[in-house]
Amino acid sequence: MAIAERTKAYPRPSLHRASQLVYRNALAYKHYWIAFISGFFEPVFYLVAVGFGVGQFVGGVPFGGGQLDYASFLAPGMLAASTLNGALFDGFFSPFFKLNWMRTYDGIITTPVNISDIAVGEVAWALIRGTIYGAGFLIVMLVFGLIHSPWALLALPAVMLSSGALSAGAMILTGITKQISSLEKVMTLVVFPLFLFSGTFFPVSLYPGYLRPIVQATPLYHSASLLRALTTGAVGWATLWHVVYLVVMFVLASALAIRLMRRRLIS
Amino acid sequence: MATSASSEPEALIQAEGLNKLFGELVAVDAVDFEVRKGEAFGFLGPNGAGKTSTMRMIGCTSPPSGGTLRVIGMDPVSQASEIKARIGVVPQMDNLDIELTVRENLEMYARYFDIPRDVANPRIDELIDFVQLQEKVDSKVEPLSGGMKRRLTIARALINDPDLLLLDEPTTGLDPQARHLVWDRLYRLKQRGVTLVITTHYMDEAEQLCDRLVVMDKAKIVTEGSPPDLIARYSTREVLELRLSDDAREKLATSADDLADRVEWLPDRVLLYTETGDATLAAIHESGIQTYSALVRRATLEDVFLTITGRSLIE
Ligand SMILES: Nc1ncnc2c1ncn2[C@@H]1O[C@H](COP(=O)(O)OP(=O)(O)OP(=O)(O)O)[C@@H](O)[C@H]1O
Ligand SMILES: [Mg+2]
Repeated sequence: MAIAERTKAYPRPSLHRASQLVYRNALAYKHYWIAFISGFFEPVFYLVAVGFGVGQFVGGVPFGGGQLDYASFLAPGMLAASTLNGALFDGFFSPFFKLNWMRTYDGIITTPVNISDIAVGEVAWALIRGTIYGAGFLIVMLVFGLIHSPWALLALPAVMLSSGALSAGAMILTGITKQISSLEKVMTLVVFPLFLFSGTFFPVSLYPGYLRPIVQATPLYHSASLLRALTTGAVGWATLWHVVYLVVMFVLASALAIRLMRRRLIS
Repeated sequence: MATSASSEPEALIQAEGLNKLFGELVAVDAVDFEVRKGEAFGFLGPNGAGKTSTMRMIGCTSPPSGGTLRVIGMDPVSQASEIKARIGVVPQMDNLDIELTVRENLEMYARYFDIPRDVANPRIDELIDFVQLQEKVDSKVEPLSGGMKRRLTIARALINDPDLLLLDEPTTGLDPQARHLVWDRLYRLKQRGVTLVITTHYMDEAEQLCDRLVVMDKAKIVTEGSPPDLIARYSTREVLELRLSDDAREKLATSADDLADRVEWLPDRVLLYTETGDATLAAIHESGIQTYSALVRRATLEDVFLTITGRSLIE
């Protein structure tokens, strides 16, 4: 009884200890730097192929009461999607292998670094990597003339927020997934639909009324809408709502992810 | 408050009525043991006996389900970080970081333990020499042989200069050369005053390394003592191993109980536990029983182990 009560006093995460995980991942990427660089090109390829290629046949997209050229509409959507991709990779796939295959975390928890440090460290790494790619992509947007407002200065913090919230969400998947086959299921059933249908490629106003609330509940919708508001300058009160959604998601998902990871690692 | 740091307990680990449950399953059942400072202490036992479960509780990665446990005078649940800072863990299954090189593995663990770089760097060099991985420092972990990986895991466990080293089956799966190298290193650590806790199912390993050991079986500690103690208690000094024809077996069966303290009939051999194997063998030959082969050997911990835990697989 006494022991059961004491176990509830879990250690809090420390940023210093969590930063060691960030260092570890950076060290690992020294050996896989090509993989690191390739992460930058994916959204750029989409932007070029779909935004400028397909965009020629599209004309304008109804947006904020007016018309927006398709590439300007798509670019912030691709930026949001790239934070989702990064979050999945750094918050789910890579931790999944460390947890279940390489047993990296089993080793780390024999040191003073604890499970909440590990979770915070992995999310921090995802956030840092997402931010680096986001910065690169924003420069590409600037060069292609797809940034239409000084509000875009806030786009980088928004990318950080989106990366943090989405990777904390991805860590929840790490905490509940045991089979490697689940990775593929998550990709086809969750990620791909999110990628295509969250207001990334076309505006949510195209959906029939009963589908809209579903789309508007997804995190990628909020991420894409927030970034689009900032790069186009169509900022309003609704923009703040996207921020609140992502902040709340970040906090709740982090707390839940830590609990789930603890359940997986301590038995 | 000051006393808790200065009064080093003579017993580094104390367990009383320690339990571990996994749901309904009792993995460790009310065990009592004490590990003294500077000794090499062994947990011996067949598969599933509860050795790893016990080690993980000591290492503060698995909360006890009941009983009391003190490690270096501290509570493994509320003072886990303090304890972890002072122990080294060699887990049963290697969990080296395969995305990093040999040296980077040690560097990272120095960081996890928050060891300043100017202390860590010379220590890493020293540890790489100690486990003889000089040629492999910049190699990735994956291509290393099993023995090298094990040695790297031991080096990793020593990065924080621990007072207590927990080794869960340190040489399982290694070839004889690799095992002897590991034994030699562990022996040196003991000489330096590091307290070792070792689990193993190799009796020769326990005999070589352990000052004292407990035998676990089905979640309980069934006996405890030093290797010579246990041999004296559970076995005779010598064992005579005979290979016989079926006829000779039958003949021996009628008189064997008078010739030895205890006789064990195995499919391929007969074991006679006796104080002087040569005398027993002579008596057997005198009674006209022919032997294909006869071997007199000292009794080992293996004989003790098999006497206590039986020969059949219990799984
Ligand atoms: N995390 C766990 N969840 C459920 N049961 C477990 C867990 N870990 C161990 N057990 C069970 O507890 C019992 C003791 O296992 P343990 O690993 O401690 O044995 P062991 O003596 O180390 O065996 P081995 O020599 O095979 O390593 C076994 O029945 C095992 O199946
Ligand atoms: Mg074990």
